[in-house]
Amino acid sequence: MSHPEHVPDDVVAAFRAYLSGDRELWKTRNEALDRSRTVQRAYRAFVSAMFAEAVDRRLGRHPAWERIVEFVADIRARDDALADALDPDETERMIAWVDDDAGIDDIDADRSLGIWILVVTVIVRDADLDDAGLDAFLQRARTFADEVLG
Amino acid sequence: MRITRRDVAALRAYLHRRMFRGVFLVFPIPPWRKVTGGTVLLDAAFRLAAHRRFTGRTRADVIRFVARARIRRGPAGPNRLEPGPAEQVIMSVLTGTRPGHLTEWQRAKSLILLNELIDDEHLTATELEDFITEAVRLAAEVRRE
Repeated sequence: MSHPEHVPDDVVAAFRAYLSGDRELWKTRNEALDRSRTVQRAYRAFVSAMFAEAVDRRLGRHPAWERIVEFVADIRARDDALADALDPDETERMIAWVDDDAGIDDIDADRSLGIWILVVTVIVRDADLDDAGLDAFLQRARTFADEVLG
Repeated sequence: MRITRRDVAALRAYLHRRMFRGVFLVFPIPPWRKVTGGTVLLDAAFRLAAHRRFTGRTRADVIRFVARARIRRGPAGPNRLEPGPAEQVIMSVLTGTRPGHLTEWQRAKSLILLNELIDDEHLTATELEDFITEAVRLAAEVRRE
């Protein structure tokens, strides 16, 4: 049951639950996801697309380095858990990477996935999206990811 | 080993940004493995500045301070500050997880951060002299530990 050319519905549904703040539903849906390599690839593509979409929404295209530094510091200053989870250098480089394809190969795949999810969560929460806004956000990310996967 | 007038003069020169008036004779470029009167004084000045700036504050204040310092210094070049190590060296002083002497790595970061901390206080010339006097007193205490 693999869909290598696009993001499966259940991946989108799982993240919809996560970003809505329904952690129980997220847990259920996430645990039910197909663990095949192709779906995992789509999962990662979708998360990175959400990250790009969220960063673009919050900071615009090609944000200045100073703006990135301020933004990451603002996130990390919110609580110790975020400060510990988000390495400032890695997070800033991830954000810069959205627009300029800077090297992030030295950042472990699991760490990068964790950074993407945390940053997306913060930006979406700050945006205080309603259901329609969240669906539109997820759809844009899905379209972007599908293009990459296709 | 003792803190000499030259050590104090070097700290004063450094804090006034007169970097090349012999300051590197006392605070030479790394490696700083050897503990001298100058490095003890630098450690004390950094600890004093960090406590003055952040006592009663939170880790969030340290994060924001380092971000502002980095922006002032720019993204590249020899004065660049790495955020993680910069936060770490300040937090280690504030939480008392660091002994009286900084490691070589910490000292390299603290030398840059010291100027940022002092700049942030906007001290008058008299207040800066008071700061140096207090740092010398603290350094003397460290030497007795």
